[in-house]
Amino acid sequence: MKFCAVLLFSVLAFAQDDSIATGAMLFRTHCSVAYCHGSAGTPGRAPQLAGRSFTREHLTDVIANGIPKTAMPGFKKELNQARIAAIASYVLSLTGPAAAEPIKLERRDLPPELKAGRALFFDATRMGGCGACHAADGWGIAIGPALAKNLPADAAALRAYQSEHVRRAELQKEAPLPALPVNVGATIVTVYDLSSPLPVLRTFAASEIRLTPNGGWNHAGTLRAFSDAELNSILSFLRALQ
Amino acid sequence: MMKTLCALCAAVFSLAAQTIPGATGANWPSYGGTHAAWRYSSLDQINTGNVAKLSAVWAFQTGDAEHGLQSTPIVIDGILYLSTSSNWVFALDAATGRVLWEYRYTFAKGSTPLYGKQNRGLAVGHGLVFMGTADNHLVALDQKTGREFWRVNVEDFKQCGCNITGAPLLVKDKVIVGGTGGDSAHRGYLTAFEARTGRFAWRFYVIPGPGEKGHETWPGDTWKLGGGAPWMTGSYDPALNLIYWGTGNASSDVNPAKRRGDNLYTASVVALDADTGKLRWHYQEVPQDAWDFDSAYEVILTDLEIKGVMRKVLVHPTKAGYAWVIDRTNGEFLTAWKYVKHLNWISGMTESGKLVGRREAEPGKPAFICPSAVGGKSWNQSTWSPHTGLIYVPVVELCNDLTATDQEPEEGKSFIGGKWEMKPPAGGKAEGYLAAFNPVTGERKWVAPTPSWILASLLSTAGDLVFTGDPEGNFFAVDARSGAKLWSFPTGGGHRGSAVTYSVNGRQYVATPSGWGSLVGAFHRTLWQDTPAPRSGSTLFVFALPEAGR
Ligand code: HEC
Repeated sequence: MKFCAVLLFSVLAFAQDDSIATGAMLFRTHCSVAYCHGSAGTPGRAPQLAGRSFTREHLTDVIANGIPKTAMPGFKKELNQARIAAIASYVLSLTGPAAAEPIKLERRDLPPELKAGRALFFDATRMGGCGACHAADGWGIAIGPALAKNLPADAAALRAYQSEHVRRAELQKEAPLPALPVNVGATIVTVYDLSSPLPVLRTFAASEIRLTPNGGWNHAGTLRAFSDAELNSILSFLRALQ
Repeated sequence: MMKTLCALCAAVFSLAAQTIPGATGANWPSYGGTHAAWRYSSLDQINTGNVAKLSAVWAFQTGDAEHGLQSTPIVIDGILYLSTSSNWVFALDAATGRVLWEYRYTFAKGSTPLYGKQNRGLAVGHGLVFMGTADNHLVALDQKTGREFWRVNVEDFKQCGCNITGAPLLVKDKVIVGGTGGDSAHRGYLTAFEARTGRFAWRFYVIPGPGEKGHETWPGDTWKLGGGAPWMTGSYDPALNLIYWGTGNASSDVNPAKRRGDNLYTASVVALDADTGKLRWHYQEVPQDAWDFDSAYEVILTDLEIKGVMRKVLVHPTKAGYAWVIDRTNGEFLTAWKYVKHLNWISGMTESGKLVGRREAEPGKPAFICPSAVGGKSWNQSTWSPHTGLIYVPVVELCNDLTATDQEPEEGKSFIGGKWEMKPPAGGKAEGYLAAFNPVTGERKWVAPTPSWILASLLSTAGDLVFTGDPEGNFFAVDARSGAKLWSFPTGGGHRGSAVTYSVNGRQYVATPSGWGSLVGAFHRTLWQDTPAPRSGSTLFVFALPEAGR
């Protein structure tokens, strides 16, 4: 009796594994192709599938019928029910906690006035905008501090902000540059060169560089492309993230 | 006899008449061989007479099997520089494979890049090795030690939905890099950095902004996220001081309904001043793209006799199935020839290059279009041999059902506006082959069929050989004048990279990456279901003639 149960269990487990293996193969040929979902459920052009909680019903429906108004096609004409079920099994097999990093909350639903601030913060038509040096709400490059605490009261206060950590780097082989220290070790020193609108992470031998106060860099220079009204709108967006 | 002699004369003449240095010698200094992108070497120690004796002399396992090995090695003064898909870099003794240094780029936790981890090569110069990364950084390493010198994050990859897979182009004191993103809601651009410091030098947006010429070809706000990503590597003519770069498709890829207009400068070749990045001229090959027909591929710079006059031209084979021949001094259309058999997105072209009989998918109704969104060729490069006077192209005969759907762009997210479903040509089969063409007339001299297709670059040499590899794992050489297969070696991994040749102490070597990968490579299983899948891996195989046989 016991023997039978074990046998039955392993046969079922095998059937399940087999469906996952078939699903994995079908996934590679139908889903993880040409810019869509990444192999093993990592994000490709389309969203990450691994590490997310889906129900089998929802997955089966989406694979069969697609998602209207998006690039996700339905596959019910090409794949029979068993094959769609196999792909669903495979995707479900990726939902274990070890499969991938959990999805980060990005682009949270913001009221329109805060959306405008967010759009300005990340405005891709102005190269070297806030997002080039600050991360917020899932996007951006974290060179400067996370803008959560001690936000300036308004545009004027932001323009008056004086940086504290930027140094003047005196170099053996180059002209001095405004440097934001990242790592000052006994043998290696890394700093951001802030003289470029896209800051450059430089690595020096400790003997090649001397950091002295007064970087000669002014944060206000990065704000020149923005009007006061725009900066206030950005600050409202940042305040909402707190 | 008379005839062969004359043919030889013409070939020698055409090489001598070149105003641009395009052939490589002992070194393989840049991605396309030289900045003229010929992928042609003047080395002839290995030739049609002795290639049968070619033997493996060393192999190097990178250990990075992510998306295969799609790279082009760079070789300078006996040292070979190799990048891998996860942005590892190796400096190897080019004669023995001994590791001199290695560098592994580290990705920030949780940064799983868009378009996957893939890398196609490096640029080397000013004592530095330059590489774009899968999370959209450009890094510079010390050429002697591999120590990181500088790095810049070009744009947050999550925001732009883009990253760098192509090799940077080093021109004088600037290093120039494009990015992917043509299938994302993104506005493509090239950025130039000062090679020694990493400081920003200039940026060229493929899509002109408000107030700039060409902006009027984009209705409303469509210019902001309209694509055009220049994701491969450009070329450079030092005499004209112009950089040439192919640009990507307009987005959304298959649905132009919201961007009626030419959509400049997508699916074009652009000529930029190398010092300022200012546009000098452009030639748009596919106005208002509706087929995902990037023009982002190699731009071959050479001089050709056209209607009795020597012209400085560029030859530009694009996804659309034509090779365009353009006067590279001013952008004038000279001719274009079809390199695929199956082509129906237009019915033809006028003498002056105007497209005729355009067919695009109507919303919701699939349209059967050839070539497919993969292109009449993929990004793997052609080669131009001035020695034979022929251009060799890795042709793909494949079509697709395109269905356009209505899609709203969301910055950095997929923006395809429909779907493509790969199909064999009507009444035929999906296939790939090598083909040799006259670069002016497009006359096809020969075809060398393959078991499936060719997604590896071609390499031609003065030994009258063309080298490439197939998905089945074989690296092989054909006679450049007939296409006859002369030699083949099973490397065990599918070929998706770019072979190079070089010499050290007078001995010629041929090096090829092996190991299948890439997004287009993933289609293989769908198209050839009955054959084993191409094998991944990441190995560099290096061949030479046996010492005694030299
Ligand atoms: C070129 C890079 C760069 C750009 C662009 C930039 N910042 Fe900064 N920002 C910095 C750096 C670096 C600091 C920190 C300086 C220090 O600590 O000395 C900083 C500090 C700040 C601070 C103070 C934070 C605190 O905790 O004290 C605020 C607020 C701020 N930035 C807002 C903005 C806004 C808003 C924009 C866009 C309009 C912007 N920044 C653009 C680099 C930049």
